[in-house]
Amino acid sequence: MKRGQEEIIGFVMIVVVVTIVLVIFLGLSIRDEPVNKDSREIYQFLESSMEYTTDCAVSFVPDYSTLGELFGDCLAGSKCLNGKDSCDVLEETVPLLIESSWQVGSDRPIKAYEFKSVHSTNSSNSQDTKIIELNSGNCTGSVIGSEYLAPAFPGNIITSLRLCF
Amino acid sequence: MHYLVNSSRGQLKIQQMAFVLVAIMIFFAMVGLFYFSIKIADLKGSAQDLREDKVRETVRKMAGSPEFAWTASDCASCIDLDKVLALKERKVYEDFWDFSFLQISRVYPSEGEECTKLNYPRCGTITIIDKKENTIAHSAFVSLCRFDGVEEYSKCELGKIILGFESVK
Repeated sequence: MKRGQEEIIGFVMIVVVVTIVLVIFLGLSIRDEPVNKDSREIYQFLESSMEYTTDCAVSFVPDYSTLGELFGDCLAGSKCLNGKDSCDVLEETVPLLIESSWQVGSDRPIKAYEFKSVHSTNSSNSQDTKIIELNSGNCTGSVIGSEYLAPAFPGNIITSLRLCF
Repeated sequence: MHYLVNSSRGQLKIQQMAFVLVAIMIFFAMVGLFYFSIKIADLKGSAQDLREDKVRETVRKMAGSPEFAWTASDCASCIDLDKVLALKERKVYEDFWDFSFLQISRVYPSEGEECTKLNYPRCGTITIIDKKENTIAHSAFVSLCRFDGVEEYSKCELGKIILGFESVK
């Protein structure tokens, strides 16, 4: 093989190696990673939903609980005066609120949602107590979400909503 | 003579090397441009998200203004729907705010019709300002509260406040 040919092969090899390295680097850095963004809109939704008056009165009619109060009632195992379980009322109401606010479905921009509410005590060695967890659809793509924190002695009730695209 | 031949071969090599270096530089520059254009697009997206959040927060602040605020309970996101309906009737408020569109809309339970004194509260929207101009609208979730005279209790529902700003033609 002539010396000129050797040089060309060497140069081509360097270019190929550099190209492969760059493609791998670009692939890793530009890869469409599932993004977890904090959304102000979802926070506002959660905050406003907490004030929603449900049809569940725990102590007397017409002292109907708000959705925010109902999380505490559900945690305490309270029943509504109409005989319904407060947790059942939550499970009926929350999807209606979410699905009235966003159109969720496999053929829609928002493919799925995850709604979760837990009671968390401030001590480090205690586990969170799940109040309700609702899922709709399959969450695989990028996600926007937010958390709403409400005091519930002892500790807090943390409610989160994640919308998946 | 021998010296001249060697010299021209050396020059050719230097020229060859220079071309290779230029080609590599162009290659890296193109890759860099491609990479940075994607990164800048991401940054623009993030800036847009932040701007939208800010506008949403501004829209939400309207709920706290005395003309809208629900004062029966300590609730920053609550709008007094009875007050808003009364506001709609007063034409003086059409020019009170510098918006081209201002509407309160019920999200859940959803009702379609525009509210009047006759169909209230079984209605969906209360439009306070509608100047029918080119408008860019922004909305924020709020609670729509009112006093239920039948059962005599305060009832809050989920709604949205929609503000329209005149767009630049």
